[in-house]
Amino acid sequence: MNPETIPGRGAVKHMPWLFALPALVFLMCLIVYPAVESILLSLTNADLSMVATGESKFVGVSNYVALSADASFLNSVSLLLQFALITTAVEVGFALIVALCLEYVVAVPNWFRTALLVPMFIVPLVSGLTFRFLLDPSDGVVGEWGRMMGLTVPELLGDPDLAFWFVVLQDFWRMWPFAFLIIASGLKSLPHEPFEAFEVDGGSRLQAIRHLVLPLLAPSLAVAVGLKVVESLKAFTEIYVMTGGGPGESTNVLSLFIVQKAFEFFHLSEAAAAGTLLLLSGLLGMGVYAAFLRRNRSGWGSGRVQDEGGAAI
Amino acid sequence: MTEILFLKRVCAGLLVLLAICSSLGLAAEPVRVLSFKDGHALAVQSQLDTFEKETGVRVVMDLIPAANVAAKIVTDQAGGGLYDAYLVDEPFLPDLARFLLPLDEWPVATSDRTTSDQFVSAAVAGSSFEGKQYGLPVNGNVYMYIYRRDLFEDPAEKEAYRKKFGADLQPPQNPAEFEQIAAFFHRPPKLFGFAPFTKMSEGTTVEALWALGLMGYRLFDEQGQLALSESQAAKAFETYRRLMQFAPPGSGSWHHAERMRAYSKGTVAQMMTWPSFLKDLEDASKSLVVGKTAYGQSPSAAPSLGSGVAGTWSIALSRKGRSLAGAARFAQWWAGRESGKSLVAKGMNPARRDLLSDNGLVSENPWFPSILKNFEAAQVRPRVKGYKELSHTISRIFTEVVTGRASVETGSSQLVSHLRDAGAQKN
Repeated sequence: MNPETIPGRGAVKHMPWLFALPALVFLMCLIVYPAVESILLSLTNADLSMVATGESKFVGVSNYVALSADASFLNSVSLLLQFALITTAVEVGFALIVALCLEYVVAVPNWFRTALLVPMFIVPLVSGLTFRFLLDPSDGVVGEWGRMMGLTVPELLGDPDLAFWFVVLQDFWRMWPFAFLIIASGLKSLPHEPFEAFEVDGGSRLQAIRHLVLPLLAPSLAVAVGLKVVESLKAFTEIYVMTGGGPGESTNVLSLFIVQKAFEFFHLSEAAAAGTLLLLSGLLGMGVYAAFLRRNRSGWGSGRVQDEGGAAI
Repeated sequence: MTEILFLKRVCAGLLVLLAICSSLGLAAEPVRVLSFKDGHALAVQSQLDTFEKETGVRVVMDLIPAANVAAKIVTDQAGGGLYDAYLVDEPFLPDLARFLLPLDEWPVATSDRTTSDQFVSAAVAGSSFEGKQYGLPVNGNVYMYIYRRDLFEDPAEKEAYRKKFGADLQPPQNPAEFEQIAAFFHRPPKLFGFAPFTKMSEGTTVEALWALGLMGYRLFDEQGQLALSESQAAKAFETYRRLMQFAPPGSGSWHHAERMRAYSKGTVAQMMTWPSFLKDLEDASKSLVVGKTAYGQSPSAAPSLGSGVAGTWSIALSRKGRSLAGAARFAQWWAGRESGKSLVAKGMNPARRDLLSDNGLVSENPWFPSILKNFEAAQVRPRVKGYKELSHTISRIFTEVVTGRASVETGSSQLVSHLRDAGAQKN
């Protein structure tokens, strides 16, 4: 029988699209349409009150030019990049060390591994508020401990030189288990044969980690880094409740800058422009990341490992 | 057939239900009011049944955090306008005036209209923009001076002060005396001469305005022209920096909570504060200085100008409101004398002259005469569009300078430059 002539084949051919339709509608309505609207808004001079009166007009890239000269915007971008880089490096690095220790050095029961994941299930709002209360010099635990030891605890979240680092600390505490989960899963999925061969050849555990584990773990590390960077770029709630972007503008990362511009200063079009820049930089970053993954996937997939001289074993 | 009959009955039932719901919807629409949430608003909300019984007007109040009210008003207007009346904070009035009905256009009979002379003039100014009043003041706040009466009236303290400064120990009238008293009572770690407000927020903008007013300076004159020079700003910053030396340690990032806590513990001799915090000072469960606080006029180098800062919330009507007559009636009731008396008992600080000078109320709220006096010489915050952004800048510069993170020269220059830009936009 000719498949082309099977009755209903046309409907079957389009069935995947039908199944995907609800998700596509969701994406269009809640992501694509607002993004396009935001980009269009960024090309106008709209403030929040003009949205009600329809008085805005097209101004081209004026908002983008204004942002490029706005010290607060540049500061917020710098803070966001610092936040993303530092938290990613610290969290993934720490998670890697812990995962390696629990896999190769210390035997722990499964419940211990599970308990390590608990912080990542705490919502950012609760985490941010908890740290804010803990660090209160008058009524917080840190202040109380300091007084018990005869110390005067400074305003940790009120000091512009310190507040950023405590925001980073909060994120580290909450999110390092996320990287640990990815890396530990990656470790569990590694093939055993290369290690057995390595042991037979007399290699040490440290050498095995360096020359076998880390190269084989590269895909998991790449996923952990990529997801962590994306998550960092979205950081808002926990920083907002901890410091509100202060003291001064020392923790005013880009997401807080956007909210402040839109809902405190009512400069909707400038906020939309900042949001568009964040979106485009995120897309660009993801594009670079995806290209990196594609380029290196074949090398990772083959399980190729190298000796100390860099030659493949 | 049985199934068809069942379906017919279900449809009939649904139609009846729809008719009932529609008839309920056609009943008189309530007056919808948007307000910030605090004890005062909750007290008003608790009296809505009484208001409905008296007037037949049903009111529904939505209470949200104060910081969100302005944005919510704008988004409400963009969405067609669900609310008939809003509670508007004074600094936002210039940006929101376009959405509000001027007082003289309210659907109220002239004979029933609430007149402005019933309120303190600074509160009326806070409800007005460009010569038009847009709301009725319902919550009169003014930055006022408080001090430890027990310390000021102590004979030993008075004697020591006279010996040291050759003058009587009494509430300060000018910045030099304020600083003198702060230095005199600076006895760490148990007592400090001053409690600052230094956490970047609207509160530090008010603190900055007070510091400038203390020296007799203003940001803008009555014509809206820039009135502040860099040298004046520098003098005000330097004075405040000196006062910071008499403040408790760690006060470089203090908000209301920290400041009031320090005063309540009895470790501060004098400071500025809002009246809404005063009741807790007389609550034995919250304060160690019950009965020890006196209330004075905020000092200034130019007494006619004053240094107190007014903060008025007004109830205003939306141009898009659907129940404006009822909303106007509710607004007048809220701002009225009789409801004001019962709301004062729940912690409201009024903006009405008759309430602030009512003997019965004064006996329970001894700070009322001080509120009235401070209001008479109070300054309102700059009446410019985009005030919030200007306030953010003033707050940032002030906190950076007084905590030493920026120099007085840099801060003064930046402040005047930003004010010049804000004034240019306004004009």
